[in-house]
Amino acid sequence: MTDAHVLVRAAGLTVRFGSTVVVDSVSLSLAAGECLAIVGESGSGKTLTARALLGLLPDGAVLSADELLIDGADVRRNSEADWRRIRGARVGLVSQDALVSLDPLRRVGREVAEVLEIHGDPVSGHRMPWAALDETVTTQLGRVAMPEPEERARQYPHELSGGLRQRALIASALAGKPGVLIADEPTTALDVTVQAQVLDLLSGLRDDGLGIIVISHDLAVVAGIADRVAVMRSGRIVEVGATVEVLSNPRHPYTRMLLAAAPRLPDASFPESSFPEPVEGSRPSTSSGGDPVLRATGLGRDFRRPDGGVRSAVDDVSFDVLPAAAIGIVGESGSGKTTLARLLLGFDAPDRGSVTLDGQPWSGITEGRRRSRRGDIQYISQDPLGSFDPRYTVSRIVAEGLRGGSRLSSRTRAARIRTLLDSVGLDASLAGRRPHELSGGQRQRVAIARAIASEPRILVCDEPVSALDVSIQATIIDLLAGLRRDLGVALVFVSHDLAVVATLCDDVLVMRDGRVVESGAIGEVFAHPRHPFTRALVDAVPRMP
Amino acid sequence: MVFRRILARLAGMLVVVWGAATAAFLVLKLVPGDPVDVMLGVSAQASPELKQSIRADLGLDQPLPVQYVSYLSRLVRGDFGTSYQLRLPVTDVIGQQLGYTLQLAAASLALALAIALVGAVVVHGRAARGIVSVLELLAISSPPFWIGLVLLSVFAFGLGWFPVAGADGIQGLVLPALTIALPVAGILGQVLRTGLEDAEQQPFATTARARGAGPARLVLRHTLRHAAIPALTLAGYIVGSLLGGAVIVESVFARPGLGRVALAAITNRDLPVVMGIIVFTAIVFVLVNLVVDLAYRAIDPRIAAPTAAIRGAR
Repeated sequence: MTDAHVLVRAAGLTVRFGSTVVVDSVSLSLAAGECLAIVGESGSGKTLTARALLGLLPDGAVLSADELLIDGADVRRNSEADWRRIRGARVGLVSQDALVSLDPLRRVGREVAEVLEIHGDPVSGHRMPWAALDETVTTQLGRVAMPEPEERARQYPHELSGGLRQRALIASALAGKPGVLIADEPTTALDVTVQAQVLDLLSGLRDDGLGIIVISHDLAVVAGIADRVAVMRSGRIVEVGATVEVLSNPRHPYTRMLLAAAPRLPDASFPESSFPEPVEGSRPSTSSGGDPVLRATGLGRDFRRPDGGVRSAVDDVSFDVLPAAAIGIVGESGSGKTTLARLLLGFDAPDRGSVTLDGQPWSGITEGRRRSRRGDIQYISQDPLGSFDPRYTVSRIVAEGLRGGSRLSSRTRAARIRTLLDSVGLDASLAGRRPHELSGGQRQRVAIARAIASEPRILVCDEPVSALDVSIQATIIDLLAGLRRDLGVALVFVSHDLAVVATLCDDVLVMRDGRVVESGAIGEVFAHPRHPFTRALVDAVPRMP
Repeated sequence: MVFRRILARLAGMLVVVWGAATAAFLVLKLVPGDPVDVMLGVSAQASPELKQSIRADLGLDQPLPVQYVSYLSRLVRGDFGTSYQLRLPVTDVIGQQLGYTLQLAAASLALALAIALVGAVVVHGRAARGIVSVLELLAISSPPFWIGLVLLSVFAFGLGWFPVAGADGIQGLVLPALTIALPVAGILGQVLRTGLEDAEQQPFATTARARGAGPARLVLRHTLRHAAIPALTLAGYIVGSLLGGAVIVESVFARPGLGRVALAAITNRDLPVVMGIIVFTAIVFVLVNLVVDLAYRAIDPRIAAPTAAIRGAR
């Protein structure tokens, strides 16, 4: 690697907020045609490290570095105006979720053109005339494999699918022909099949000579694209090396923990016998017998499209949930998973079909008649914080879930709350805290404690671990498996993440366009997918080498 | 689909105007006193027979429902009746004064927008926002007549820059327009500034900065449009302030205009004029709301594409 090809070199990069050090003496380098991944959990400082390379730190952050070179130029003493000349022209940024990272009020083409309006023609630096601008935008959109680029340029971000939106965002970051692209969680908001396409696109751009710094919480995602991996924790790089080396032979305990915690989809080529049992002891003996707790028969729910047509978000879905069973519902965004969960919970009424709970009608009756039985079926959401009253303390939140909570004596109630907190692994000292004082994992535990307070027979979980770091994710999955075993509660587990479902559930429904395309035992469905869509879904899951 | 939306929209507008007309009719019928006495004036000596014939002439001896129906059918034909006091058709009375008030309203709105924009764009995200927000609060909480009097005593009596009263030219317009504009600018500035600061926290603003956009481009090309959406929601309040402000300001500055006509009509119990102004105001509000809705769609393309559940479950 000759010095001429080094695009970024940093040594002793430190970011402070007041006296708090959030990025601590980070050193890294990036060459043309190379992809460096920075991996870490939330709060590890990975995003701030990347933002420092753009001079885009939040207010109050102070940057210092022993060395910080971009394209060979020392940028440590750069003024805001100097940084503006670098941003877009030498270093481009792609963030998570193009729906909000592209200006929702502007056409996609205008967003791509903006960097050219600011910096002029990437080669000559001259102001570009309108016609040339339009042409370059079309070329750029074509470069990221956008179908019908001219038409797409005239559309708004919300009119494009998630994958096309992300391509447009990448095109807008590359239009100024920067040598370095910083991709901050570029595929986190995408479905697995789309994620694979976007990762392919980034690999292709790297092969064309672009230097890419990809930031991710997910080791599996970067495994396929990165040449080198830097693992960050609490502001420090704890391990750095060639991707294969770090993933197959991790030296730092933290890297080992990350690798161990990541849920994996077993390789389909393995013989069936090697399929790991779900979390140990999670299959209770009761799951084989008894009448179903919940039964869905021919469920359908229609929504009106803007053009006046009708779209079936859920169509002809039937299944049983036996006592203490765990059933996963997987599918991409828009497949109808969440609508189905809402129908099961009685939050929404089906247009066709019916739901029964414990053999009694659950759909098609008034909410008043449902209310006394609500305690039997409980809901856990992706966003526990949004489901709490921010002014309530933890014990009051959990008390909300108790049946007849107001009739209990305060001593009995306090004892129940302590038992519940204990059963979700929360220390009783947290009872007086408020939601914003808790970590993400603790919040989800509180939500689970509230849900099991009414001793439900079934828990409907909608992406309950998607917003959590992998290490936390693993502990919450263990907790749910343990509750199933100890309390005999059945689980309906909605997730886009096949690996998480494989760890926790016995059976799975694969949904697409509102219909169940395949169902059966997890091992059978994931190891020998019959439907082409299931096969595509399984194939697209990123795997460690 | 689109056609049906427009029809539903028009029907909604008609219902609002009809409601206002009906409310005006009922309220004014419930007010005690004989309109004929009002018409003839306090000093007039008229025989009961003469009064009775006038009443019959105007249809005031008919039962209430009959009066209501004929009142509505006249409204539909654009006939608002004749002013008891001025002996002119109400449409002429409103028409003569409308120009002055429109001038005042337009000038106030322009001033308010200018002050709010400068206040919001220059100050947002800076230390000076504290001072400006105190000034805004002061402007919002001051009653317009007081603002008018303060402006008069400083700029007209004290400095002598502007005339004390009258409606001649731009000079006479400045102080009245400023009186109405200040409270409006206060609330508009607050909303715009908060909108700008919120928009700058959004991921797309980071993306724009990462392209090398400076603060001016960020505001003009990106965040101002986002901030304009909540500001538009205030349009109803602003129109109300402009009309309500006109009543006070036209009195304080002795300007002709709709506000003074309304005030005079109410004190003199000139019922046809009062009803005419109420219906006219309702029409203005309905039209402003239509314009605001269209403006929403022009600014935010996401509003034009709603996805609704068939039974509107959500």
